[in-house]
Amino acid sequence: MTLAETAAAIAAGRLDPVAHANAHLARIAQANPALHAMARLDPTVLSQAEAVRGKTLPLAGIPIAVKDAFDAAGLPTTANARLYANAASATHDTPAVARLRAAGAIILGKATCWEMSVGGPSDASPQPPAINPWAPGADPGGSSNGSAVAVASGMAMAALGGDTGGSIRLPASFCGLAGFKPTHGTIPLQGAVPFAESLDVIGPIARTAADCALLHAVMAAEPAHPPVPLHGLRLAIPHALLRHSPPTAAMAKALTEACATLEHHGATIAEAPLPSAALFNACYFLIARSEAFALWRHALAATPDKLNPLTRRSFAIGALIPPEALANATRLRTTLCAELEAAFANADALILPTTPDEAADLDFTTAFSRPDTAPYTRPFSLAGVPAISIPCALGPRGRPLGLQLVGRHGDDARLLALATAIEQALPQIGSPKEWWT
Amino acid sequence: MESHPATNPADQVRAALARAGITLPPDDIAFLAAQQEMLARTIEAVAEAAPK
Repeated sequence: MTLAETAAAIAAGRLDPVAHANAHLARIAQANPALHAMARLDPTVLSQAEAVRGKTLPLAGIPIAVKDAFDAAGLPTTANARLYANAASATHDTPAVARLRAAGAIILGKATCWEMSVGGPSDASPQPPAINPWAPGADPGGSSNGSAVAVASGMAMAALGGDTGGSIRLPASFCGLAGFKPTHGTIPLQGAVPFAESLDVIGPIARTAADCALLHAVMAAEPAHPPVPLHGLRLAIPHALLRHSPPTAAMAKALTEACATLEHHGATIAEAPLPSAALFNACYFLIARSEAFALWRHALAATPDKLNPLTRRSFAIGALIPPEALANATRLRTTLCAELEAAFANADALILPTTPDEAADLDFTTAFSRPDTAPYTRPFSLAGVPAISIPCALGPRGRPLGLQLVGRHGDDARLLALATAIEQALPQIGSPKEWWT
Repeated sequence: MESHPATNPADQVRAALARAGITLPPDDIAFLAAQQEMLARTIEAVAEAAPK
């Protein structure tokens, strides 16, 4: 069932919200020991469910996992870091959580993540690394991996993730889900552990773009967009970005086949001019690392031993970026944003892979030496525009491949409507085999 | 032959961190020193493209 169908069934009394919540708690008890998605459960789950019985609310009785980088009242926020091992329980919800609760959602608890949303997979963090349900040992991506794994394995119907350079879209892609990064600034960030504040956003991960649209409408407090027909839809591929970081043959084939399907339904596919494509990731790197260092330099100075090496190094590299380099990057960012805006002159949305390849196996080596999974997601974080990953195929190892759709700044609801139309035209990839039972 | 301190990447990293009151383990310093070349290329590419 979709989120809307579930909420309607609970409102109509056809589905018992307590039984529904209990089924998800049972699923967590069964799957979490192998998949490590949930870091902490909310002890009030059943009373939350009882409270929505018979109520007509857009998310009545929908069990949702919250990335452990965002405050949910009554639970500590640890960002999977020893730095916050003794954190007190939050007294308030981050606004996104508060809006979900007000719409009837059940907060199941906290989903694990990479340490401080930056560290990469590590066996030295308080919580063990989450495992991709599509294959034992497979990387679920990051940093919002617990959120994606919880949804992909049926522990939660939806989850909140955070995205600075791809941290919603990448785990959604690797786990065969939809993950939406809203326009920067759309959803308030109070009560969130920051990484780079001019890039950080909060957004939903769910089974479908349609579910993401409902969650986003609640969190952003804006109405959903009416359906968008595929016939006449103008899509454009930023080939320059793909030439700079080529996808695998399987990913390229998946993109080609998806575009052929959409053309068959009446969409047109053109090339999006992006002459400075090679500069987006360089500009992102300087800004993200400078901002992260500014935020966390005091923790690096006072308690470096409470951060894992990957995290320390990711923050500390910002100390090596001179102020004039950040100033250059900030000026270039404005130019790149204008170039991207111009790419929409003849397109309703951009279409490209979310990642160059399907999920690899978990790798505990240094973050900078692993293959770059985010060359197609960071440019749109830099520009602050909305972007969504939806599943489009399975790769050679039977792991999901994701398609990314990118909209104009502020055009979030329309992009979600467009993604909903596109996902309905593409073949379904199904669900992972339950090897963990 | 010993490197001159001013051109030794590890010393440059230690000095930059020390200015912020930060002392990190030798493995971290070695790791960051190995990133210096990539970082310099990135900074240069952005500087060349940035509007003046």
